[in-house]
Amino acid sequence: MNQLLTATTASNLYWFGRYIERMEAILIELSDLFDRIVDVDANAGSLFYARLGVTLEYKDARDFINVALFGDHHANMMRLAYNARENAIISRNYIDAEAFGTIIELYRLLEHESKNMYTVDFDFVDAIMTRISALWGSLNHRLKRRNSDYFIRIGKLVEKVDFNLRQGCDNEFVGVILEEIDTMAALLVEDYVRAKTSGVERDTLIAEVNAKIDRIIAP
Amino acid sequence: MLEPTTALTQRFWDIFSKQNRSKIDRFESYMDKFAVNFNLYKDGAFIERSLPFDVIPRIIEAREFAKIERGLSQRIWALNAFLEDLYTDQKIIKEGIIPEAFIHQAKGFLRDFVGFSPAKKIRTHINGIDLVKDTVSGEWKILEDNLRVPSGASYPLSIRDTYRKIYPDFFEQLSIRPISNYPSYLRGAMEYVNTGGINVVLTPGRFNSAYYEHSYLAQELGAELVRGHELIVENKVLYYKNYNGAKIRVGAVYRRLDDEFIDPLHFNAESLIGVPGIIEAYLAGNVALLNAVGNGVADDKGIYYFVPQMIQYYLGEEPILSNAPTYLPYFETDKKYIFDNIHKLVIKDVAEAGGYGVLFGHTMTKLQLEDIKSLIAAQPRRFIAQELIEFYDERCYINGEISPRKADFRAYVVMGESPKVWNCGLTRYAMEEGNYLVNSSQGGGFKDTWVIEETK
Repeated sequence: MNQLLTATTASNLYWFGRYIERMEAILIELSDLFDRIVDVDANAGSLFYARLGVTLEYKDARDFINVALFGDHHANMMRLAYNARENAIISRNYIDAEAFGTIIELYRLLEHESKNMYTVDFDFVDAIMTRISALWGSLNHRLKRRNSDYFIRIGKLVEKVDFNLRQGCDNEFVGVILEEIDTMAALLVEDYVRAKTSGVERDTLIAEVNAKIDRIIAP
Repeated sequence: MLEPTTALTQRFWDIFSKQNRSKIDRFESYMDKFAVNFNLYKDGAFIERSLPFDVIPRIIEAREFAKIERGLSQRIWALNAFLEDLYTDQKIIKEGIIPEAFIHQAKGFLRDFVGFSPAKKIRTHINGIDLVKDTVSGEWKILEDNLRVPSGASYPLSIRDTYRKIYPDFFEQLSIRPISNYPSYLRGAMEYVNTGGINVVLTPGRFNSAYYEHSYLAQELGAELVRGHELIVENKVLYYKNYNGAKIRVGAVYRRLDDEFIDPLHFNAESLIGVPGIIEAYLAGNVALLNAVGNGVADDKGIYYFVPQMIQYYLGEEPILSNAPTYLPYFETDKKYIFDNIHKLVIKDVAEAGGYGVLFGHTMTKLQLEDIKSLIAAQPRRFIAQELIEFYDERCYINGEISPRKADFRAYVVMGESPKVWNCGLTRYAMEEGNYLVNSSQGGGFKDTWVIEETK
């Protein structure tokens, strides 16, 4: 019998994948933005976050890192890690133990650092990145994939699509990811019909991706 | 008071003295990293915390444990027979062993279920029996029976592997009984009564104190972890709802929620964590519930008083393990004794658990003692009184020093075809020196329990 999963657990795994991917995607950008704020454009951080729907104000590059990680907005690293951790706790039986432990540690690290009276520097961003890489590694070490692995992976890919669309990347890249999502969906759902994406508009594409997820996880 | 050192415990201390104590921190790291939690609610706030762990195990020599094993098996046979009798023929009432009114006043007695017999007539599948070792007699005494939803087995189970990795010397040099068979005991108990279908562990959810345990045990015994809304009853059959809409029949439910919340159609209509209709499926014999519905009557501290009589009545044997000396104000002679000696007794509310509703006479003022006497006089069925047992302290490693703490021992007995006593248990210790309340919900910590053969 295929691995059993309830809709809630499948959804938790999917969102776990999405939040981890979102953390990683933002952290990768932070490195580049940090340099650009220092060398090229002091406003580069604000422009990036505006595309995520966040108004971000900061004094300098170091302050930018602090506000990005711990500021009062929905894309701060603490909140993303908290959400990833909550989804992991609920679905912990279906997540590799080491990966589960890593997200617990990661949140604890962020929580501890958020109370630190000194502002963080870029080394701290690297420390989080290292843990996220380790986390993906733990999730991928099994040779045989189970349904739960696919839900995490789909979450990761959907987040990639979403993030890239919001940042205005080309649709060809998005198309490749959508192909991969369809391949996994076909493994999870009998008689899964691959629906072609019609939209070129960002919002239309996002809606079509969400519709795919609704077809995989029955309400 | 600490238990005298024996040749075996001395061997433990010899090995302990050669260990690198700085590695003790690794236990805490392990528990933090893997969220080995027992959460608390304090002043309405949810506090997520790992269960405090003490590195010094409780050691029970195999010869001593053999008596505990025999005594607990005997007790569970008798309690199962009592519950089956109570909900069917009620011979124990008819023959006057337990007063009828006393049973009917028990909060956990569910009259609606009289006449129903569960699969294989097993009701006491998973049991946690609390014991202490009396300093006067040197004997283990039973403090209470937990036959509803006893928690705690997962904590020593999860810490043991870590212990072996951090300090392998103990396991190489002492003959410590392995404990990894607990999940197979549980699986066996579920399979024995399964009515056809998958096994599931039903949890109230992520904000329950013992959610870690629910998920851990589900994983270890190979069952699906579910919340109430993830199950559905159709035509008196219980199903698991898979993510793709498929419905899979459920044959046995290890439920981790009390009777009151398990089915809003039958019990508390406001329960959001139960499964509507599950009782109908249960009464139709289409699913097994572990533990059986209605076991709360046997957890009643007033009923505990009668367990020695149950052993004699159902098994025709003398109890191998005795209760703590207990008095029921329900009986006039006992009430008089309680009133004359209340200053040195422990008063317990029969329906409470987790260390709540426990009063120590020696810590109360005259006025408080008079108040409690009035309460007992008005509601004699609500209370029991027990002699304060001076039980042995356990050595704990706290802040770099070894110091004594009161500790009890929760033993686990899993019943499939017959009761199996686990070679371990949850040793719970009080955080403050001299405190008698060791319950996890009162902030107490835990130790591993090693049953050790005398020779290796």
